[in-house]
Amino acid sequence: MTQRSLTCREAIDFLIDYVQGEMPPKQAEVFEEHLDRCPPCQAYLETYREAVRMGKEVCKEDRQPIDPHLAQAILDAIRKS
Amino acid sequence: MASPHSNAESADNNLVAALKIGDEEAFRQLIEQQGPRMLSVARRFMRDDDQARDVLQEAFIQVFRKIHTFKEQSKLSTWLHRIVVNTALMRIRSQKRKREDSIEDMLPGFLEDGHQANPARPWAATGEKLLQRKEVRQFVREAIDRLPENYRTVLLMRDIEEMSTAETAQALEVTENAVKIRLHRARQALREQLDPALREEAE
Repeated sequence: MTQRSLTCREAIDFLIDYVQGEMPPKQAEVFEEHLDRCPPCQAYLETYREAVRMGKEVCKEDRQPIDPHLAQAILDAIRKS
Repeated sequence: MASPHSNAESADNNLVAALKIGDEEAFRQLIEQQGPRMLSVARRFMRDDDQARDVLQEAFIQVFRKIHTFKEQSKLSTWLHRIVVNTALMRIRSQKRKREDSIEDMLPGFLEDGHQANPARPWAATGEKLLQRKEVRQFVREAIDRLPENYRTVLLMRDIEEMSTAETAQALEVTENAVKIRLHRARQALREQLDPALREEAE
């Protein structure tokens, strides 16, 4: 990749690779250069990460109890299958 | 001395051996131990309690049919997790798609020169803090539920169920690159929906 600056659109398109730690070092350097001089892209990156964290958090809380009626229905279905 | 890990493993092995000979008590125990976690996975995919219960039932029938293929070196909970995810995916695929919003409308816009059309600003507080409010938790759940199905499933599989890109691609019969693109768009769409409510007030 030739050294040139990125637009916000390009930075945001490639952001997932950066977040996942899958961006090649040279490209990451160019990406970080953009971030250093672009507060909206810094805010975008941070809020993107936060949205992912919040999604994980609200989904992980529930363990749904199995009522005896459902357990019995499953056993009956297994027996019939 | 046996480690707790190997104790759990040998308990699993005993249970699997009993399941393989069709011991009903073993199935009852499996439903009791693993059912609650499996039902919550089904509930996330189906967004509906009755459908989640149907998926759980169908998943246990699959377990009964396939338990003889289970290899003792695999982890029982992971094997069961994949079965319930696949059962939910099959059910979603078989359903008539309801009208859904287009993902394009949920993605960030850009000006012709490549700048963000609606420049991002930090959020008012950290996610951890924001999630202390019950209505924010509900709001985030609804935002995930509103994602178009192809994107919502990938977000669930990758970020919530923590399946790998390769596993997700295989289960959905798409390329790994398609999984990556859908995950990025799904996350962007989630961020975009949360943004207006969570943004710091403009000065």
